[in-house]
Amino acid sequence: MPRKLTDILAEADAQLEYRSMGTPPEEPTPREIKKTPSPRAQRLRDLYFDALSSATSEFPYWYTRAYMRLDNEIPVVRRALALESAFRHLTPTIFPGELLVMGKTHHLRGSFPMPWLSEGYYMAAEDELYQEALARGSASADEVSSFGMGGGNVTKSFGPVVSIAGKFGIRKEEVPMMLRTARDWEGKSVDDVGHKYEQMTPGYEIKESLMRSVTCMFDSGYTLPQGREVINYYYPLQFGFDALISLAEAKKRDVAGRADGDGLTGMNRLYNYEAAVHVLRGVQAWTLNYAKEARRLEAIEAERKQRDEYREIAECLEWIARHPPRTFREALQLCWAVHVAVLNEDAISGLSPGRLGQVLWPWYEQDLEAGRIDEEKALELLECLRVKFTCLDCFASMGVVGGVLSGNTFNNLSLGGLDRSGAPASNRLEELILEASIRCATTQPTLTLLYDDKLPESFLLKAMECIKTGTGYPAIMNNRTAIEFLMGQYGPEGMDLEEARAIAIGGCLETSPCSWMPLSLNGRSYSIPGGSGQPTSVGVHFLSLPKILELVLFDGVDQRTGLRVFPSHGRSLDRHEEVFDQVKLYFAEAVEVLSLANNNQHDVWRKSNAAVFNSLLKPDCLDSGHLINELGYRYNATHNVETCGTINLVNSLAALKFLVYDSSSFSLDEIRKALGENFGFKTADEVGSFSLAAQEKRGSSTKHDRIHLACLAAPKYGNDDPFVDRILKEWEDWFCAECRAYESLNARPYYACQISVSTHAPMGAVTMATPDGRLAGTTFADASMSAYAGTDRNGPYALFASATCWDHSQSQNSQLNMKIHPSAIHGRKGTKKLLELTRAYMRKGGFHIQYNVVDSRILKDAQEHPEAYRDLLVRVAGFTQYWVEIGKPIQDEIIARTEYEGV
Amino acid sequence: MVPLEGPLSGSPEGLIFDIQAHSVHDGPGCRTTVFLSGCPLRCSWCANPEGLLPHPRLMVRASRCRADAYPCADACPHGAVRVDPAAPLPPSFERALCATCVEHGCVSACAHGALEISGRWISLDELMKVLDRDRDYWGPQGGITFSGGEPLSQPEFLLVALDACHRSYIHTVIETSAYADRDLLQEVALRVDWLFVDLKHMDPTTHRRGTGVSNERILANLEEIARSRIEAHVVVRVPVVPGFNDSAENLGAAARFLADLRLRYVNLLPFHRMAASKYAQLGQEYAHEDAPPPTGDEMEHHRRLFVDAGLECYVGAETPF
Repeated sequence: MPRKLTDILAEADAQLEYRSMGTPPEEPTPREIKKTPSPRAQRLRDLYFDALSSATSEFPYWYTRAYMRLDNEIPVVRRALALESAFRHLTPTIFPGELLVMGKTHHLRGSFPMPWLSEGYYMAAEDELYQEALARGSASADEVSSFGMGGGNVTKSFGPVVSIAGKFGIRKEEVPMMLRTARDWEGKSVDDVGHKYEQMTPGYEIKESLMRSVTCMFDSGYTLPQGREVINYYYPLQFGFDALISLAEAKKRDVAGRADGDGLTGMNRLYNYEAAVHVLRGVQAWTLNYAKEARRLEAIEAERKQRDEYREIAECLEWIARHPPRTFREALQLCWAVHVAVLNEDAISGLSPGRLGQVLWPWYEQDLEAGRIDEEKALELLECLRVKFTCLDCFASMGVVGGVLSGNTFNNLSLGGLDRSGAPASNRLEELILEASIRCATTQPTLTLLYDDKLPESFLLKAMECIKTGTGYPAIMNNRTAIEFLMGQYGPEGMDLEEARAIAIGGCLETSPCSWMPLSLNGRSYSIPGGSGQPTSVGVHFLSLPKILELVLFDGVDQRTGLRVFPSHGRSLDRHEEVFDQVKLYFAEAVEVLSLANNNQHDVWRKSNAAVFNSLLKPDCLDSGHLINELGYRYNATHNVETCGTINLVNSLAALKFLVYDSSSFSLDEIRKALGENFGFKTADEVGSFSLAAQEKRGSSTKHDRIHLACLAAPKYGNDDPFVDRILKEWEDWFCAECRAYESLNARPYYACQISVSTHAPMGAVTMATPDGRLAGTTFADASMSAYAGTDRNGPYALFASATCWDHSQSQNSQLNMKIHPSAIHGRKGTKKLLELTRAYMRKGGFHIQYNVVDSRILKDAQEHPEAYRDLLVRVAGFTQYWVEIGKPIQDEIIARTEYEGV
Repeated sequence: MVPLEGPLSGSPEGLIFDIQAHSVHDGPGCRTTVFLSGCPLRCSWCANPEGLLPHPRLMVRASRCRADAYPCADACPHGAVRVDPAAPLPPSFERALCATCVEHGCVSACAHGALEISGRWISLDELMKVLDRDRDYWGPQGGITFSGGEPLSQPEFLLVALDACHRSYIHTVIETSAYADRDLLQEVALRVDWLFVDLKHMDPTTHRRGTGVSNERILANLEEIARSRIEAHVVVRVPVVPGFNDSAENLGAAARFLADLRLRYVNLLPFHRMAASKYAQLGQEYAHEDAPPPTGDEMEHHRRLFVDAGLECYVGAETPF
């Protein structure tokens, strides 16, 4: 009988699974708030539940075909013509019952590969392209990442369907076309060209070792070059596509042949406007193709009500393809079309609609006044929008989409905050968005509440009610902290306080720069917010801090692969300060080489593959004639350094200081030996679980028990213990300042970003045991401010005190996930308590908190009986996902999180 | 937020004579108290006499009246203002006529602000707007308190208002005489978070003498509240009026009665004379003009009677809530 860690702890009168503040009721408690969508949205959501993630080669085929014929055309025009061709050729499909139409492809759910970015990763594992990708480290993360087996993921081929990229199904007959298209890009993709040049950056061999050892995962330059940003719908909403095309044509006449004092890029403006015209025409034609499809369906539909609906769809599309919208529905449909068009232009995760309820307010308000809409109608539309967003899929490598994103696409809708003048910006439409998200619970768009003390109590309570559905949204971001961060980061580019108030979240919790745009509708003036910055989370992603500690303890050699990652440091490590110092040195070296390689990748991306459509939407590209690649965006200081496993690093440094350097209970060699032998435990893979509690000893030996228990009992973050918190503060102050020492390709400083997304699973999987007692292969602590599972034992206020020992506004974000038992916040009093808890953390300067309201026993049951839980939603780290579509390591980690039974 | 379910338009309106923000003695935390007009009792010491009748009341502030002219009399279409140049100011008002008046032209006619109408109709929508504003300032404990008058005298308005508050997560408190229909009181008790119920005297005859009604219904309702397992926090309030109900015999009987019912929380409210000027403004006699309020020692003595019966008893505002 193998000894489990839980048994060993029980013998020592200790425990691991932790329920803070009491015990839950005997019976598993379902979530309290549960409503149902409108019949229409319910039917559409059921369609989604039955649909598989599907890939097609339609878009890449037409793109590639046009592109390859245009040798020697100006790159931006060449790309625009390829995009125009692809948009014009997409097959439109409309599903019965839809009010909002259009999607990425003709499939209900799915996406397509973009071989011009990277072509190797989705080939079959035995393919030479894939093997080559593996050798250079760009596919290493794929090897250790996994998708959930259930839901719409196609993780295995079946019948005539072939599984690719670990998630999508593609029809067998389309595979030769897809491979042929991919082959066309061999040696030409951003990945391939970028690889050629990144090898020229100093320290490149370290970069490769960092990727191969999974000290770092995710090259953003070719996997997801855009996203983690807020879209801007303003120009199409205010002017319409016809006027934008005319505007670009007029601008062409203005700038053709003129450098206007800029000898480097002045002449480029002509080509940029020309590119804009082509892409706008492509998007317009694509929209009109959907209108034609609606007309076709209208002509053959026998049932009168459905026929009328097709006609309304056609009328709406025919109008918005050319003109600015007149009604709320037209405005919503246009926003959706624009959103999908941007997503089809580039591989993107985290394209956030921003403060959509405030963007659409002018139409909603005027429709309401004119009696054209009522709240139920608006709710139905908003519910349909949720289903539409949920059907989006992102096609990238398994390491990125599975390992980092858990299949989520991070279209984050922000609510609340302040308006331009500093008054609360929440409105009734935002309350309806919350209500629609309660009634029609789906993964997308996820919601963020921009918490500000000025927001009305009633609005905040509505948001808490939504959290109690258990979907985990809205996450709560501290509006004031975000404004402070933005002023610090973008002040040098001219951002003032008014502008900083336009803030919204891009991606899961990336604080993003936005701007106020002057909108006029029927003679009334409004100021609407929208994104005005480059992707705010590209750069050095993600750096595994526990792995860096492992490299420090073992003199630069990765213990899983035996690979030397860093040159030997040769230090004796006989003082805590020396260990900490070497962690910083290795970390700095990693950021140095990774930032150089990243700058190069993104430079290659922007030279041949720059965004045209996304660019022209953002201020001030249309005015200046410069796109993203020529820093046409208002804010360009957007590159960051992302970390993972902060708390395991901090706890480990604390354990070493406590056990080795302060009390001399063990020598560093003893610890190293125990870590090397995984404290006598089997590997997590052998056990088949990735949570600490489930781990089993190898054989019946009690070897390492004493040292392991001591490591587990050492002081831990999350208990208001200055011994640990001082280490956290020292790390945060150093890390946030250090990032600014590196220069992005835009010649702006990098900044710190601290979200784990799902990387704490694959990065934990490749990391040996750590001095805090965590065992090899098990998942790291989630997020950046969450305590390691079961180690926060003094209640939420102690956790908050630890988390706020440093100034969060130095960083783009921080992240704290909290699991609360539904009974702890039951009833009306519970809702108010949840708000008070949130408010307490915000007042102390916490940047972000999100809640998982769920009974762990229900999650355990769902792991055993996934078929009964198709619609179960959980919060992971910055996003909400269907339980059955999450990989097992993350499932285990969520179950293991400390469950708060009282607040 | 205005609740999504339950339309507000078409809801009954309520007659109120005051809304007080930052009200700190009418339930936990900082609250907004709404005073509803109309009361079936006529307690001689009533602190809110302007709220007794189910219609707006004219209040006359003698100190502001100036003798230069009588525009109030000119503005009155009912001839209710009796001007006698020889008599001291202000002129006298025929209150029976005023009670039927809806125009109240006299109020706006008076340039000195000597005339005022107490009581106005408020829609649920308007009330919720006030609460939506105030709740941003209450803090976690606060909420709304429905007082009066007797709030149960406007049951339609009260019930929809309580429902609207419930849906909006607003903490609700009611202060009632419990002289009400049994089923209605139950309906209300089920909807509120806190219930303050008055107990004025244990003897039916004396009760009728002091309040105009017998206490039988009140005692029965208290028994009913104690029996039913409502979730609301119940506090029994005893106004201590010297010479009326402050005998050891009566208070002792009240303590035993409450202890038997296991109604644990008691709040003794010492009589005060702050309402005296309001009686004058209404043109009414005030029976307690010269009665001294009970001393602190006396109140402590009374409190002991309840504590000895095993109850948690607090005096005035010195409560843990």
